[in-house]
Amino acid sequence: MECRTVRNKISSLIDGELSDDGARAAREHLRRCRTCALEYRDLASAWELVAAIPRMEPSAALWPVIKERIPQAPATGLPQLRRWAFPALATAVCAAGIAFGVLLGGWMQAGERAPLARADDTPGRVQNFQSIRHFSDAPPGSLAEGILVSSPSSGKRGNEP
Amino acid sequence: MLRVKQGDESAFAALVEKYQRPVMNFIYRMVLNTAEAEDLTQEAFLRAYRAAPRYRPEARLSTWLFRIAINLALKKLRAGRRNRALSLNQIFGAGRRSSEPAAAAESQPDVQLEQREMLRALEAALHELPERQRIAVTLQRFEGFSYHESAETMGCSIESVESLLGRAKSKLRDSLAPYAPVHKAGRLEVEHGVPDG
Repeated sequence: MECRTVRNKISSLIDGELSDDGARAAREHLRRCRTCALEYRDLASAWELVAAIPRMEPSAALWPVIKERIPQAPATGLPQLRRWAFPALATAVCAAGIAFGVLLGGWMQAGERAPLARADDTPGRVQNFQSIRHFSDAPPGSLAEGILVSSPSSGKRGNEP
Repeated sequence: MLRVKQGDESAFAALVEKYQRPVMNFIYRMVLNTAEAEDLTQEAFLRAYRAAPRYRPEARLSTWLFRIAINLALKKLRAGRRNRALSLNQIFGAGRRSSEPAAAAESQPDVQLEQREMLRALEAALHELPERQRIAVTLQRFEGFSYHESAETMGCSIESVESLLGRAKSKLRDSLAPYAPVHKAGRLEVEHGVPDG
């Protein structure tokens, strides 16, 4: 075994995770190679030192507190449901909103087009519609019309006949 | 666990009794704060109770429980990192310990001081390890998990665990180098030689 191979295996050797053959070959190398043996010793020492950290003892109140916080109902599959229910609900609400918007938009557009597009409109109705002076600067009866009429320089403006 | 699934509280109590020490010790070594470790241990068991219906018997119970503990500890560490750095008191703070070595050396203040300093250094060295290395060290070194069990718990390959532990040992060796003479003096009676077996 080469030094590089052995050094990669030292950690597993310390933890007893090498196969019997692998461990035997690594140990054989360590007996012959002082550098690798020192590496093994240093790592094993540090590893042994870490184990000196004492264990914590849970407080006696641990179980009573857990017991108090246990849900009254026995465990159910509800948490799993909750995990995907919220995103699914949010997606459904968004989709419904978009669909409603599209339908409403279509309906409104259809409504706006209707007076011009309807085939059954009589000529009188169409004429009547065209005569409406929606876009006049001064629609009849408005304050603007009064001002324009009373002003000598302006004369008649806009769509006034 | 099957009884817990059916809402058997006494079975759950037995489960808590069996696993509270390893779970709490694991979490403590991750967060290095006694109060937080206790809170997270409670939370881990409550989550286990709530998740019991989803537990599948083919998964080892300890693996499943430790996976919950890992998630909680990492969440806490990441939240803490956003808010503040760990204070020295948290790293070096005294906690309840079942095997405080100072107890044996109460009559020798120097030895007691030295041992306390050593423990602080050990915890600080552990704290300096990256999260995944610390998880691997805690599972393998303190909870006695094999590489296979650690890999299963951490959701990675055995080779990854091997690599994490190799790097962790090198880092620990560097961090604890100043304490090596104390160690070599034989206080902890560690065998440095290459084992024959």
